[in-house]
Amino acid sequence: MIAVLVFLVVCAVLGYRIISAVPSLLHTPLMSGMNALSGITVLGAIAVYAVAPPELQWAAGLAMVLAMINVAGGFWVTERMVRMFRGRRPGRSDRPSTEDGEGER
Amino acid sequence: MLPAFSPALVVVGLAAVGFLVGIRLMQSPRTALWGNRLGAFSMAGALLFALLEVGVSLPAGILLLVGGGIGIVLGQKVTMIRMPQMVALFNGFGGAASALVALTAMGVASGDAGLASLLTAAVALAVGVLTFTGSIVAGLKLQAWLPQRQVVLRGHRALLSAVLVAGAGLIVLLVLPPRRPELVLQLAIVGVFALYGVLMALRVGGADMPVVISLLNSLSGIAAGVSGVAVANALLAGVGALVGVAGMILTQIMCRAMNRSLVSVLGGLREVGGGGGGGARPTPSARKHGARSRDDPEEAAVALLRQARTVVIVPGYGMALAQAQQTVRNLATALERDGKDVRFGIHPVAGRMPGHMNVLLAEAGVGFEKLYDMQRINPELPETDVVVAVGACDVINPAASTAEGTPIYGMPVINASHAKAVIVCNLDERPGYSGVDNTLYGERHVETLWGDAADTVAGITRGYQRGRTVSEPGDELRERAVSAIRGARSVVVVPGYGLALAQAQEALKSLIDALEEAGKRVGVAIHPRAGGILGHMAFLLQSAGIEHDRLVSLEQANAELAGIDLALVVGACDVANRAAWGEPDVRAAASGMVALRVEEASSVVVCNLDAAPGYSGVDNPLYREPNVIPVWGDAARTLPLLLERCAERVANDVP
Repeated sequence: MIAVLVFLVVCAVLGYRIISAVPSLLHTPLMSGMNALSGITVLGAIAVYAVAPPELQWAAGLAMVLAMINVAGGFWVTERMVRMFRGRRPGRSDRPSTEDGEGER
Repeated sequence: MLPAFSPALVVVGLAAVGFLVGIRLMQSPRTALWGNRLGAFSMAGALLFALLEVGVSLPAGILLLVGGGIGIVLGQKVTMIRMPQMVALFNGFGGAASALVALTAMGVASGDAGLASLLTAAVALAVGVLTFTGSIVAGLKLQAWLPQRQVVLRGHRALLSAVLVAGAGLIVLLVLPPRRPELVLQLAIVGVFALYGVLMALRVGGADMPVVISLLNSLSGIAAGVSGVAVANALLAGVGALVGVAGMILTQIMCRAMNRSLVSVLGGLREVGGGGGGGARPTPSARKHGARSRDDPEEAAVALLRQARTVVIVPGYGMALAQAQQTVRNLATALERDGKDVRFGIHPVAGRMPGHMNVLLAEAGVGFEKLYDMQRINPELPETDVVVAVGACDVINPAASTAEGTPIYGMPVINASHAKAVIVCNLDERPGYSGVDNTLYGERHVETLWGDAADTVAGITRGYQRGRTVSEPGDELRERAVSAIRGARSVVVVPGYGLALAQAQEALKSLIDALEEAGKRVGVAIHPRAGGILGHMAFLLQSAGIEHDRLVSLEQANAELAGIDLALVVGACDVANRAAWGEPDVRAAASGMVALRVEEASSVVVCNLDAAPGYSGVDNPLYREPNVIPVWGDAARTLPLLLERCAERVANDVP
């Protein structure tokens, strides 16, 4: 359990540094991405489903379904959103960007 | 305890690094797509490994596929305006899943439950359940299936405290020896914390939702993290912590942006009653209509926009409510078409969840490079000609820095009032969620248009475009230029360094292509002095895709120009200026060379920035020739405009 706690703290500290630098522009995709990551509970669900007593099978099974909804839905909707930010740059996007270097001079 | 080296450890490490790098890539809109995919890939890897390790049973596989299928359908169907509900729902699912895992884990370990694992499982159960019910209530509020305003029961705070104490007591009971998790006790914990979640979310009003959603996001991660500790799954614990931290950061940002503390948001505390307001204060309308009544604010707004060079649009949630994103984007496009600089200033709490407004505008087709957050736009506002506020009230209220004692005092706002002029397109002049009157409405340099933003903004856009085609002074010249271009059979283009300055090479290339497509003969005459250094212009054109074989030398051009229908001068002044080269008494930069005699063509269209002389400092007599049609302005915008007008006329000619 100590190892797990240490890992938890390391992830939290690194996460804090990295997530703080995400611009507000991308906060909504960040949140839906976090929804997807919170679906990591599916790992716990899979583990307990295998060993759950019969009267608790439903709980582990439901946990698997809900967590998978988060994983699939979270990543899917994030993909949709991030694509909107990336694409549809009017005019220039379809041309080779030889011009951009010129503009800087 | 994990062994020193095992495949499991490697997978945990790789997946964690994958997630962290994925989030790192989310720091820029250009890389965010790959960040998300890396996250999904890491998740798939972790999932696959877990299945291999435990062994896949058929029912488990089916359940996973069902969940995945539902998730994809939800993720595909949701509209961007409903993203807050979606995220709330997912927060709830995350909490519920963690609670169920904790519940099962308690049952599995019922024989010899250690204190630590039992306690963490109980906490995960509690946090998971309250995340679930709180999220469902928040989601229902966002969906407006529950009243959006805050619902405060009598003795709400005491009730919350009592419930929390009861819940804590139950957890203690559970982990006390003999540490046998009894179903009754578990169900009691579930019930009490479910009630807590409902009570907590019920009391939060609509505009505080960004805070609550962020908080619930965080709680869903914490529930996952604690359940990870309970079942000794490192990846679950670590990633749960990651989600918890992300939610906390966002909660903090949202609180700061709303000038609220987390306690006051959750406590439903508001210094000024939302419904009340009081009748004593002077209404803005009294001040306004008394002080200066404009015949037509729409006309005034259009006039402001027509004169403006820089425009900042500040959208608020009212824009989303009015479904006016597309209308606003059309206004931005119309302004940009005339070379105006249009940006969007986005307050952190402009939407119903962090970053919501950015997503709504991106969905409407606004490029992310035009979206500026509050910190970046505020320093630009004193230099901005016009701010157009659409459905935004509190986030632009100057009272935030002056009205001491009000709820918004000290709240960071977008300083719209610093701009030279402001156009407000709000539903009405009532105060925003804070209940504080917007002092901006009464200021002299502010035009207010009340009504549905979709209507008022569309009205401004129409007025603006109508004005552009009828009364703009340059317009008649532009129409003549279009006629000249359409009538010409042979065209010589004369580019100057102004073309390069305006970065209009590609626009020129498009125009040339269109002319050729229309069956015209097009040559490009290059003066040796055009461009920074010798051969520079040819190189610039080459890199824009205008090939060498099209280029004509100075001598050749001068020999042929008399027989050409149209000379199109783009950003070139001195090289087509006889006065600058010919007479010995002027400061001729390079005597002995000659100007391109463009005026010998039947007609000349000049797309220069203005009528000012070039480097030589000698006025260009060309502009005064009768066959010359000047179209002043940035070539990067005048050329596409001419092209567009030519195309429009063709389209109009057909029917």
